[in-house]
Amino acid sequence: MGAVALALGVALLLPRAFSDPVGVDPYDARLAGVSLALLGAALLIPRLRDARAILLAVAAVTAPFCLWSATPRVLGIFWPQLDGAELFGWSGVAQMVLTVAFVVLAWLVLDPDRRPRMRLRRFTPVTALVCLGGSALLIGIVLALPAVWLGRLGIPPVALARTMPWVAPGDVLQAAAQELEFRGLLQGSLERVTRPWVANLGQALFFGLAHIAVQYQGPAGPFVPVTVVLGFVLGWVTQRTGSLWPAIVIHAVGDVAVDVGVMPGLYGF
Amino acid sequence: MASERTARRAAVAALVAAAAFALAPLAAQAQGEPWWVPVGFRGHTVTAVRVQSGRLAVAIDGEGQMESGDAGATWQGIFERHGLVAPGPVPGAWQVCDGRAGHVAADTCRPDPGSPSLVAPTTAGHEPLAALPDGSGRLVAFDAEGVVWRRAADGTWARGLLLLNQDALHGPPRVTGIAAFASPLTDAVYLATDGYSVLLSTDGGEDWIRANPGLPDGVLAVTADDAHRAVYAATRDGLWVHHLQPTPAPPVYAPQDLTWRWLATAGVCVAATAAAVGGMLRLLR
Repeated sequence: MGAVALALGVALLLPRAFSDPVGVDPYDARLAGVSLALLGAALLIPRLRDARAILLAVAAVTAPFCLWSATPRVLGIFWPQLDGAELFGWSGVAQMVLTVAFVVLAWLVLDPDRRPRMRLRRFTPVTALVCLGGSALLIGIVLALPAVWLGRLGIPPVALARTMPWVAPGDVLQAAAQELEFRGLLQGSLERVTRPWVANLGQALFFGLAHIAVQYQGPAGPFVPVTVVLGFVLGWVTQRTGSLWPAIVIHAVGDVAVDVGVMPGLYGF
Repeated sequence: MASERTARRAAVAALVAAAAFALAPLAAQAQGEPWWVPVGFRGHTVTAVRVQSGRLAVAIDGEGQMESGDAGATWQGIFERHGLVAPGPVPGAWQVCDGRAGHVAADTCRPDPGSPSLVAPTTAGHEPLAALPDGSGRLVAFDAEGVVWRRAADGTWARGLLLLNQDALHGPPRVTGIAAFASPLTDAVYLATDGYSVLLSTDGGEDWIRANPGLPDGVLAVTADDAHRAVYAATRDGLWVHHLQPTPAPPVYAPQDLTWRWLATAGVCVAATAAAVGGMLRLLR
């Protein structure tokens, strides 16, 4: 895990010293390239068998995000009439499809004792209560915190009526894909080789670092520290309930709430 | 011997990582004037600002009123008791009449049929509405509850922005002003709030962004100065100005610059991958 994080960190940061990180060489493409190359090496070299699960989980984080990021550009070439909200919705579909493909790949190529615990089969009344209570708690905390910390300054009703039919499904698909990646594949793989709290901390840090690396480039990035804490809490909820569904629901509600109430800055969120 | 080599490698790796972190901001740093620049009166509450006949005037809490004829470089006192002088009705403009948005034709102001009730203009003459300079009839306005309304070109009104509570103990901040340029320099509308600084819409009040880098949260008035392509903000910490400029964007490189950048980026990725595979092979021996 350390070697992978170091390789991704170098691939992400070093080119920034001599190139524009956004416009010229897409950082998400090089992260995906490095992680897919590492996964390929692990699948081909028998001695790396024990690293396959982790490398597959890392590739399942970076490659679907790269596809999510590239989808609007590609669709915009062939269907220039699509607006931003529609492109966002289709990006969510693309990310989810590729993430599910990685879950299937994990089942096909990993030894049974190395397969991650996905925790998708369990959904009890308690799980439903945790989904509702957790979502309400998240919204309550966000509303109680100072608005300027999070940028949740106002709701634009006209704009939301125009964009939400595409943006909300896109949010839900993206949140579900990320939960499959972080709290499913990554945390589930780490739990096979280390203690539960270490596995949770590891995926939470990677979740936070992923948001720092790829999401919030501008100076207005108040969400970044929140993602580490949120990742840890979602991982803990997943472990306690034995189900991934609360994390998916709470994450989806949070993402929709961000698009409803968080006002972007000059440089994006 | 082996530990020395390991230590040397670790030191080199640390230096490379430190250099990458140190140089990273330089690649993305944009040049040019900051989004907001202080003009003066820092440490003082500036309660009003207006530009009229090429002169910039401000009201400072407890200090009186000041006027500048050189965009804030020098100031002189104004001897008035009751705030900045409000201008009279401007033919062709949108103003508040009978508590609603209305269009001034000749010397009469006719309220717009669908307009919500708006707050009264300030003593400095600032209307609680801003018309887009394209002459389409699109307006952005705010009412006494702080709800921001938008009027579409077809005359329909809708709520454009509902401000959220500041935190668990405080309600939404007060909307203190709104401004747009009179000439077609930009479609931007600037909304001042005493808590959320300045918010910006470029599509007639449908979508909003925060346009506050560097600006205090408490903004008490805004006004646009077409002649200087500037927006002035009266805040709880002085007077600030924003000069029209494009939203910061990534730098654009010439095509011939790209080849070595792509090659270097690919080289870094290949080296990082090879190093990681090598490290894992050693660890999993």
